[in-house]
Amino acid sequence: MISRRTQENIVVLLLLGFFVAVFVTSLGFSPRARLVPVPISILAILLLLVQLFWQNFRPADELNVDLLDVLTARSPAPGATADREMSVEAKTIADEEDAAPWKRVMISIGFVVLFVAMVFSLGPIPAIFVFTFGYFVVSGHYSLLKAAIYTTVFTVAVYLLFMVALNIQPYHGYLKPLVDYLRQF
Amino acid sequence: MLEAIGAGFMSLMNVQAMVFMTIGVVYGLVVGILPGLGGIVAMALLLPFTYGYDPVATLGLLLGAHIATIWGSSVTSILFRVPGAAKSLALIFDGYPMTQRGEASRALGASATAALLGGLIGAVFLAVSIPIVRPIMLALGPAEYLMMALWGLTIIATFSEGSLLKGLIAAAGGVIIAFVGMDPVTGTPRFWFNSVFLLDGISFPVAMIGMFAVAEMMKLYVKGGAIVERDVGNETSSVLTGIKDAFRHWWLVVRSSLLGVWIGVLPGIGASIGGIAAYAQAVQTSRDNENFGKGDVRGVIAPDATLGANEGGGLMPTLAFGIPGGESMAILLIAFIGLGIQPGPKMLTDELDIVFAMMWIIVVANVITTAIGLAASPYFARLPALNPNVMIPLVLSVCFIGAYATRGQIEDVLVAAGFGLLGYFMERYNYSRANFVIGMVLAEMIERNLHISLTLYGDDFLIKRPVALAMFLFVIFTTVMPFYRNWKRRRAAAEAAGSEAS
Repeated sequence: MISRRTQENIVVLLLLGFFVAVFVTSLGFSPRARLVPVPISILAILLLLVQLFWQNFRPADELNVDLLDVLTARSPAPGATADREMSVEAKTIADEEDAAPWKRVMISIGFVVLFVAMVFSLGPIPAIFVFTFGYFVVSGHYSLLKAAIYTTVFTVAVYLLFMVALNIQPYHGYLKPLVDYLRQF
Repeated sequence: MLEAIGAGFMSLMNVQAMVFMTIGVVYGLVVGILPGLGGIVAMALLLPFTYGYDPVATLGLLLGAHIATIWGSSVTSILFRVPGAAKSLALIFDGYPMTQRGEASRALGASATAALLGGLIGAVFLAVSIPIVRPIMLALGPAEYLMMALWGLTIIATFSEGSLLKGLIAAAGGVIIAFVGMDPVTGTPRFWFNSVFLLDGISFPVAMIGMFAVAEMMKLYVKGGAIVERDVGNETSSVLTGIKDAFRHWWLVVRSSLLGVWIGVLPGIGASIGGIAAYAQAVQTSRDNENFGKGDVRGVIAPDATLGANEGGGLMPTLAFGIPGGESMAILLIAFIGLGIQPGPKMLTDELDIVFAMMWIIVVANVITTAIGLAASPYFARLPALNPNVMIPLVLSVCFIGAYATRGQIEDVLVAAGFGLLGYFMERYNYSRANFVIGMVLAEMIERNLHISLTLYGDDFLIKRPVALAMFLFVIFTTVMPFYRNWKRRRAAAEAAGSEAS
C-alpha cells in the first residue's frame, strides 16, 4: 500500500519531469518564442522543489490559505466553522479511504480508455451505442430489453443533435476498411 | 450609451436568441440539480454548440445555462443536503433544516427570489461600471495589461483551495499547455512533436470537456453508491411565503448582492467562496443570529443573493480586461474566442451592444430561471435520484461526441480523455483545475502583451511605464501577503502556547 505522502511525492516528481522536459524543449525555440515558456518552466520547477521539501519536512497546512479569513478579515461564522470542520473531517475520511478505491480508480480509467478505443475503432455513434448498452447491462441497472430501448433512444437523440443539427462529418473508425473488405465476400 | 443599451436589448429580442436562452436555462436547471455536475460541466458540454450561430443567441445559451445551474445547485443543497456545486455549500446550513421541518417550498421561494434580486443588482452594477471603467481601460497600455494578467494568474493561486504552491504550479501547467502549437507572434511551432494535429494547438473547449465533465464522471464512479439520500417531513409551507421573506429582508439581499459583485470582480475567487462569505456576513451582521444553522430563512437568502450577483461582477473584468473572474468566466472567454469576440478596450467601444446584450441576458435569464424553477421545482427535485450507472455512460457519451464535434477531428476525443485523466488526478491531489484553466486562458494575453511591451518600450519597459511598475510591485505584494499572514498567525499561536505553558 502506497502512503498518501509517497503518492504526493510521485505526483511532484512526475510534474518535475514534465516541466524539466518543457524547459529543455523550450531551449530549442527562437529567443522570442521561448520568452515565456522558459521562465514559466523554471518557476514551476522551483515551486515543485519547494513543494517537495515542504510536504516531506514541514506541516503541509503551512502552505494553505484561509479563504474566508482573507475575504472577511474576521473570525469565521458558525456555519463557516462547521463547513471547515466538515472539510477537515471529510479530508480525514478521504485520507483513510485513500487506498480503498484504487481498484475503482483503475476501473474508471479502464472504461474511459475502452470508450476512446471504441470511438477510434467503430466511430463515435456506434461506440456510444455499444458503450452505453454495455454499461447499462454490466452494471445490472437495466434488463437487456430496457437497456436496448433506452440506449437506442439516447443514441438516436445524440445522432440528431450532433451529426444532423451540427452537421458534423461522421467518422467511421479504423474497422471501416475491414468491414468494407468483408462486404466483398 | 443608452443607444447601446437599447441595441443590446433588441439583439436579444429575437426568436433564435430567446429559444437558445430558454433551452440554456432548462438545461442548466437540470444539470444544476444533478449533484456533481454543476455550471462548469454544463458550460463545457455546450461549447461545441457555440459555433455558427448568432453570437447573442450563443451567449444566451451559455449564460442562461450558467445562471440556471447556480440556482439549480441551490435546490439540491436545500432539498437533499448535497451541494449541487461547491458554491452552494452554504445553503445546506439552513436550507436543509427548513426542508426537514416541512418548509422546503418557502426555502425554494426565498432562494429563487434572492437569486433573482441578486442577479438584477449584478446586472445593474455591470451597466453602471462600464462608463467608469472604459476611460481607465483606454488609458492602459500593453505593459499594464501584462501586469494585470500576471496579477490574475497569481491571485487565482492565492485564493485557490489548499496549498498556494500547488495552485501556482497548476496555473503554470495551464500556461504551458496553451503554448502547444504554432506561436502566433513568431510563427514558431512549439511542443508539437511533429504532429500536424498538435500544430493547431490544444482546443480549449475540448480540454474543458475533459478536465471537468470526464473527470467528474470518473469521480462519480470512484465514489460509488447512491448520489443522495433524504429523510424529511411533510411539506407545510408555500413558495409565496419565501418570496415575501426575500423582500422583507431586502437590506440583507442588497448587502449580500454587493458582496457577490465584489467577489465576482476579484479574479479567480469565483462563486465557490462567495456563498460561504455571504453566510458569514449574514451571521455576523444579524443581531438575532441564534437561529442560524437551525433553518433560518436568512441563511438561504444571503448566499443565493451573493451567487446571483456574482455573475454581473464576474463579467466586468472578463469583458473589460480579458481576465476571467472564475472558471465559468474562463469558459465564457473560450467561447468568445470561438465567436471571434475580443475582450478588452474594443469590447467596450466597438462591441458595446454585445456587452449590454449580456447584461440583458443576465436579467432575462434570471427571470426565466426563477419562473421555470419555481413552477417545476417539485419535478426537478426527483432528478438526483438518478443512479450514477445511468449518468456515467450518458454524460461520457456526450463528452466524447462533443469533443469530436468541436473541430471534427477524432484526435480531440483522445485529448478529452487525456484531460479527463489529468483533471481527475489534479482533483485527487488538490492541484486546482480552475487555476489550470485560467492559466490556459491568460497565457496568450501574457505572451502577446509581453512581446508588444518589449517592442514598444524596450527591455526596461517596467522603468519606462511607472504604472506597470507599481502594478508589478502590487503583484508581488498580493502573492507574498498570504504567506506573511500565515507566518504571523503561526507565530502568534506559538507565542500564545508558550505563554500558557509558562
